[in-house]
Amino acid sequence: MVGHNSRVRLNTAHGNGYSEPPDDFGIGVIGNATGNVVELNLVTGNTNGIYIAAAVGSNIIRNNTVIGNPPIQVGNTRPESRALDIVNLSPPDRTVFDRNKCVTGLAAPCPAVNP
Amino acid sequence: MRTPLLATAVLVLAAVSVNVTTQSRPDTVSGTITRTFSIVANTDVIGDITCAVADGTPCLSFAAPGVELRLNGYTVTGKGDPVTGCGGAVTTGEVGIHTNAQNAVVVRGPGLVQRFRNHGVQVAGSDGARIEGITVSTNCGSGIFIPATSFNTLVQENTTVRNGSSNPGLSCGGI
Repeated sequence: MVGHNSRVRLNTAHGNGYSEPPDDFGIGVIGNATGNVVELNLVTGNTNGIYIAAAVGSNIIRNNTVIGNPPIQVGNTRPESRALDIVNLSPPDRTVFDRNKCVTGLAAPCPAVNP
Repeated sequence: MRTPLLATAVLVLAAVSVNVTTQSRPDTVSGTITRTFSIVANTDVIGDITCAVADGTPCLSFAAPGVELRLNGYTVTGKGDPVTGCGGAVTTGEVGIHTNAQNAVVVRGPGLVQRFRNHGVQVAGSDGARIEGITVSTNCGSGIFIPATSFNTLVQENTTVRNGSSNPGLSCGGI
């Protein structure tokens, strides 16, 4: 998603993306996307779960369940792959994260997996 | 002299009547499509669609603002490989459903958009588009793609499965 002021909500994303190169995703906020809200989505088993590129504007990522990205065998057999549940390449404070459930993240909080 | 005039008037009235009747009903589409289907009114998919359009062209494309495409549980299938979705490199422009710079258009599920050699649904140049309740699978790009030319899009309650491309530099996936 590169568009602006969009709302992406209540979707499920499973098994999307090729692992080589590892830049594919379940939900992507890429390019210069700005003003988007990504919320209440279930994102599992993709190359990356939610991927936020370096040049994006301000966006909000909240209340998503993002777990098992990539699948455990991919993560364990190819540890050199940088694929994670949430990959945030945007500058600090550019992207707002709130109450997401995830296990692995780059520059994104993944506090715990709770029931 | 009077009779031909009368007949002409009756024919004109009949034509106007037919036209009004047509516009008041939703359009329908199904079967094999060999050239891009333009959506100019609310449109119901009434059977599975197989897209055999020219390479690099969309299957279904909006051509009017404020109208809705209802998939009604049917499947729209492109020319991609059933396993990889691609069958080679990404084919520019070959998307399943294109909003085509029309504002406030709606794609409504349930329904499946699969095996396009680019994105399943592309929301391009549109303001206020809505993509709701569809499944997009095995497309060689993103399942639902919203480029920088679109604003205020709502993508809600969709399922995206097995979309993506191995092309270097093309970061894509579900949404």
